[in-house]
Amino acid sequence: MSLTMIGLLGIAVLMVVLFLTATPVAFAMAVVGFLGFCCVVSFDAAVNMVGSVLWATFSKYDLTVIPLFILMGQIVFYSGINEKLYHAAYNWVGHIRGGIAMATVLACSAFAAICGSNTATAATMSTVALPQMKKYGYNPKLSTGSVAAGSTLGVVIPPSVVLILIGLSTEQSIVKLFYGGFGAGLVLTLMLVATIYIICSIKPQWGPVGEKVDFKTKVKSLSGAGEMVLLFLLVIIGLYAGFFTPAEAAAAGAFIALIIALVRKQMPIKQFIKALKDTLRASCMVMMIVAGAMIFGKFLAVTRLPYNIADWVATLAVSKTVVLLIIFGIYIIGGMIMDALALLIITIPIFFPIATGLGYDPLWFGVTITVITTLGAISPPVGAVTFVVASVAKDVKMKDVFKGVSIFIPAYILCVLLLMAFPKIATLLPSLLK
Amino acid sequence: MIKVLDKIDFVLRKILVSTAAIALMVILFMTCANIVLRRLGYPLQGTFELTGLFGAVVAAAALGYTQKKKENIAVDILVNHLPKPLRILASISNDAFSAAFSILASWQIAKIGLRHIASGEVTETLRIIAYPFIFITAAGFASLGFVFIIDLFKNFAPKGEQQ
Repeated sequence: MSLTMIGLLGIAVLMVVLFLTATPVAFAMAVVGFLGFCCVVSFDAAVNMVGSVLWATFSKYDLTVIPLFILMGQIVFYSGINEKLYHAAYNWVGHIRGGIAMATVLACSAFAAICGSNTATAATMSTVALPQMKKYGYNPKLSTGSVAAGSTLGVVIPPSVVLILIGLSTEQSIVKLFYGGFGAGLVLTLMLVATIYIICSIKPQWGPVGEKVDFKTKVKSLSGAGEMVLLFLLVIIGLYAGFFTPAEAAAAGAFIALIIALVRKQMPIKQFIKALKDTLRASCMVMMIVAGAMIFGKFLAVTRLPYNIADWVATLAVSKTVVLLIIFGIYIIGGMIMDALALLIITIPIFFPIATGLGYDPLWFGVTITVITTLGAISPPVGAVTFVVASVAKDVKMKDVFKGVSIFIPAYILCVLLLMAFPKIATLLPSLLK
Repeated sequence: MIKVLDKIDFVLRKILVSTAAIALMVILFMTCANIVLRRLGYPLQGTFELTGLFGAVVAAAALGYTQKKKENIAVDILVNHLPKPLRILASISNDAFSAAFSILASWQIAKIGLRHIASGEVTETLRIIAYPFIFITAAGFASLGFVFIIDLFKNFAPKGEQQ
């Protein structure tokens, strides 16, 4: 059997193990990668490879950015800043038709900018925004849909664990990916807000107007969220100016978030312990996926499968746009049945060389597939974010929540089309970096 | 039997999670201190090296705890629709393979630590021993393997003892 066939067989076995035994993705990749390496090289080499890869991965300085950014997000999450962000957004746009749903999306994007997790954003924003929209008679489909769609911004707007992992697995600058994600996140936010505007223009009863507040109250409400805006600016500008490495920016961000929470007396010790435990769990999960992917990647590398596929695709008599659309299609379908993080980690070694081989900008490709896989977080049957929103909105049927999020799907598609038509959306800001 | 194993696992996990939490706080404060001191012209020597070593402790020491809380991402979309006997079979194979891999990983990482001791290897910048960090990482994987083994036993236990 040729090495390429062994590589393909390895992927097939991985899929069988993943879907038929529900083995955690990290262990499935590690076990299949280990067994594949045994077949291609030798048992002794595979055993040594496992030990050295795991130790090298776990002790890698670059990867400490993951627990530190997660800690920053958890501290912000447990300090209750989401309410302040929501009220600031509500005071500014709540008085227009569909304004409270728009405020929800804007608050989600602001919270995502410091949190980085879409499920944490969904959990917090559902609690804050859904009762408010219910009070003003918003249609449950619009209210739950706007929270779920807004929450997906957590993985597009930096700091984002998904972007960090793409950076690490494709050896790209995490800082540049963050800036690329910033542009795409901004466009996606505008698309989501525009969707609400259009829906409320067609069905005005779906998003009644909220209370109008005077200018003084509007300005005053900003002060509550000001520290978090400063925190975000510190991290982003610190990275831009080269003042911090990504891990240092994450540590500084977590430290300042902790100080803010302590000064505001919003971080009792019990909450802090919860934040630490959540951070450890999420970090371990991500690190183990990275380690599993590294082992599986070693196996793929010895079979030369990614390079052979990239070479084969380059010889196909179809336009590169068609190939790209096929890849995007796989990501859309894959995102519906798998977690975005796992899907990206498994597929990047295959698709990244193809995309770059076809001449696409690596940074643009990384950002665009991040936007595409966020769709999976809200679409059935996996749709983790939708389930989080539905678990808070107990009086709304699950099918109505899914109907609500489906309203926003054209916004994602339009965002991807805009990224394809105007790649500068993702590449302009990173190109300005020193 | 399972209750005893659960208790041992609980104590082990508590020690390891506390170790991971302390390591995380060390990284946080050390990195922040280095940012400030570097600006003042007195960078903390070996910060990158220590961050990597403590980072390994953060990620590995809570592995068992993470699995106990079922935090590791799995694709259960098909398995949830399988008949119960097949679901149990899937669970057994999942737990058995994962336990075997975790124990193999723990042993191989511990071997790296033993090699460090035998050769007297020290880190490049600070010239300190790294094997305590390596052994904690190995312990993290052992704890993970232990969690999978307990889960494996639970598949065969009477209904009342499974929780």
